[in-house]
Amino acid sequence: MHCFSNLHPMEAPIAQFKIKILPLIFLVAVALPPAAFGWDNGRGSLHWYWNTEIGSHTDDLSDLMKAYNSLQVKGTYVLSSTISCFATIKKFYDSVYDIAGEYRAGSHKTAKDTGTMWLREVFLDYDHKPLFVRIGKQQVVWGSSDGVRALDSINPGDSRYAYLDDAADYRIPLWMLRLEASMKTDATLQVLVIPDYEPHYSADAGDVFVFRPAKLSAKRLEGLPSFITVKEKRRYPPSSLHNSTVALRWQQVLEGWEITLNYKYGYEFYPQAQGGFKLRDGRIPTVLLEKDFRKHINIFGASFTKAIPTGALRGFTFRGEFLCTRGKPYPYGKQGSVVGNTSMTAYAAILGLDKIFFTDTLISMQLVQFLHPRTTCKGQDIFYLPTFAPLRRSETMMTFRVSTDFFAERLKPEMLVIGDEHRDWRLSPKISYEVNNHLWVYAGLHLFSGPRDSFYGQFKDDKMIYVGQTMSF
Amino acid sequence: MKNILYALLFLAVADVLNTAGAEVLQPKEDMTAEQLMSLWYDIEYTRFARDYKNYNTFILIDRNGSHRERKAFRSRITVQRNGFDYKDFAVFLSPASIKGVAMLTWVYRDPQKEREQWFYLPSMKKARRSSPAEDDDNTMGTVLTVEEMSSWRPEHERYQLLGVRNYSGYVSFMDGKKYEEGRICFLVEAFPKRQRALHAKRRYWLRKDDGCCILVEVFDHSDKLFKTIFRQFDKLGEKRYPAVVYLEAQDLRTSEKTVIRGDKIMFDSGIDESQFTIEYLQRSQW
Repeated sequence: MHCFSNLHPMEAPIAQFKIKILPLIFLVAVALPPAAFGWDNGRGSLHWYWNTEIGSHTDDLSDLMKAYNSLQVKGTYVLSSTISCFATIKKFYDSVYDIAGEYRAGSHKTAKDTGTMWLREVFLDYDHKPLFVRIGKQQVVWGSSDGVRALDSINPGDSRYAYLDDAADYRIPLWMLRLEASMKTDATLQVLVIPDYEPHYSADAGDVFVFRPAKLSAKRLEGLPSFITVKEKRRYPPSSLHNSTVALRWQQVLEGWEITLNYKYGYEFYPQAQGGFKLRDGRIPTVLLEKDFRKHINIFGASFTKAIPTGALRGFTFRGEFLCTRGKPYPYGKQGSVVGNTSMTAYAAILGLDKIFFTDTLISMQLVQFLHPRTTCKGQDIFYLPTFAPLRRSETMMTFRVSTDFFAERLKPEMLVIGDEHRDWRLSPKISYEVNNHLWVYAGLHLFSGPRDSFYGQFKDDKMIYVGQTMSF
Repeated sequence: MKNILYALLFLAVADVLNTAGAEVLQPKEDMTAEQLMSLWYDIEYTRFARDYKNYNTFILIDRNGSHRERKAFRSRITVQRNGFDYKDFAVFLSPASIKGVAMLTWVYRDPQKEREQWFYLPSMKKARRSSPAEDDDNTMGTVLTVEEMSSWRPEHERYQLLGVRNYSGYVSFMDGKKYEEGRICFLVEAFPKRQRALHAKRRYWLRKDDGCCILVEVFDHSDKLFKTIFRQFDKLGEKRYPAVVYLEAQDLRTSEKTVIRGDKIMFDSGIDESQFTIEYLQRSQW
């Protein structure tokens, strides 16, 4: 018998919520004295982070979008003067699916970690000049831009929270070998060998932040008669050293210019998807969705940063990154309905500018441009991947970030605005307060606007207000 | 060929001198205010040593008396070539919420040249170049400004030597004890050269026997004292280099206070310049 069967229908989800969340709170509370306190003895350290975040629709605060709890443990240990190791694990549970009826029919992908995603990072470092080796599950970050991923292309992304969370959280770490050789001070060659493969990971229809392609796909499948079976087939790259992604980066500081040259050859994180109607075993009518993740791409990139040390522009920092992706796959079709896949060379350029004004207010701006040589294939529209809207020859965006602090860096307000030329925008103000050495509290908004088939416009019904706390030891 | 050999020999000698560190100059009666301040600059940024490491504790006390504590590691290497004066690396070790936040700073010999800075933020897992904070910004939650903590150069101020004075002593807000009472000091008054500085002048109390600055008094534009910075020194290591082992600063307007305690200080440990590079910052684990 179901344990909630005696409860009022409205009480059951709340009870489920308590069942899910209370053990975690209890565990933390019980474990705190003394075992959960972090330690740091110079050779090693261990720290705990407990984050709670509650989010609601801005137009109805009782309509929950997020009831998130995570427990993260990070530890490092120095084995010798040249060898050290690091690990971080993170378990989370989002109770919103147990509470908010709106999302009960969703895939619940946002509810918790799947597979080994709880093992965020685990690696061993060997550092003996001029050689540095990091082997294990890790994140590698390329590029100089903020909030927009272009050259930051080594790790796939987890967009279940629409990339609203921290970059370190939405990157999916991969098992890899990172090898660096410093020929001289401030000049390094980085080589990455990545036998691991993970595709981008996103929410499915019915979840909280769902990208339009998933919604369109679900809508089409819903329209099928009930006697038709739907099967999904996924083809992944073979897991072997021979099939590894390989990446190279040269980084050097020359006359104050920090420059990188980047190259990557590997598998695209987006699938090439196609659906077809078949009679399986000659009898059962079936729609077969094939997702093929085996498309190879070549990435050529470069980045620079330059701080102006003298003259009228003293204090300004300029940043830029450029990306050329050969063989990038795109779907094409009509009105969001995919009929085939094509590929082309796509370009991205980001230019940024930072400056501190009024003593302690950091203002950061970026101009972002994505260029596509073709927008049609076989007379049909090529689709923009995050929305399946017809691709434009150029997509231009601006980002603007302002941050400052008050009361001895205790109170930190910040705001991020991202917008494009088609009135598609996001506005994310946030304020954080350090209560004491172990506790930060914060609150903020994510506001979206734009056409329904644009990047932020697709989330215009998902405007969120949130509060949270992070306790750490 | 001969020239090349001389050049190589010069470089080798320069490197040995750089590695070995230099003598700490002592103040003299006939020194000008500028010379005394230059000597203090060498002491504050340990420029006589090839390198410097310091594990320290920051205690931030707000107007209500509540304490916050941060532990950090800071290292510095005196470069003196390719236009660089020194390179500095700092990383927070605790509390856990800011552990791993690190900052790399390169300072040029030319005082007119702005320093270069990179941050490592664990939330982004990324080393990011940043615009250097402005000199008057309070830094790391302390009552000290960026200039008072890291960017001050003797060339930033005009100086006037007020004479040799007997210091009346500093009463610590932590233990209530009086320190450095009766110490004979050079008293130097300093006026900022830059426009729109938030302070009008500073007074430096430099110990007559070793040039260490035990007290800085900061005055506003109505000539009112609004901040004091007291330092204690110790002579450390084989070469008995002077080092700041304790600092107390208080903002008299806001009643906020800062204590910085040097827990473990090392000179000339042979730290490599590769630990002051962007690659090193990008290898941060946290």
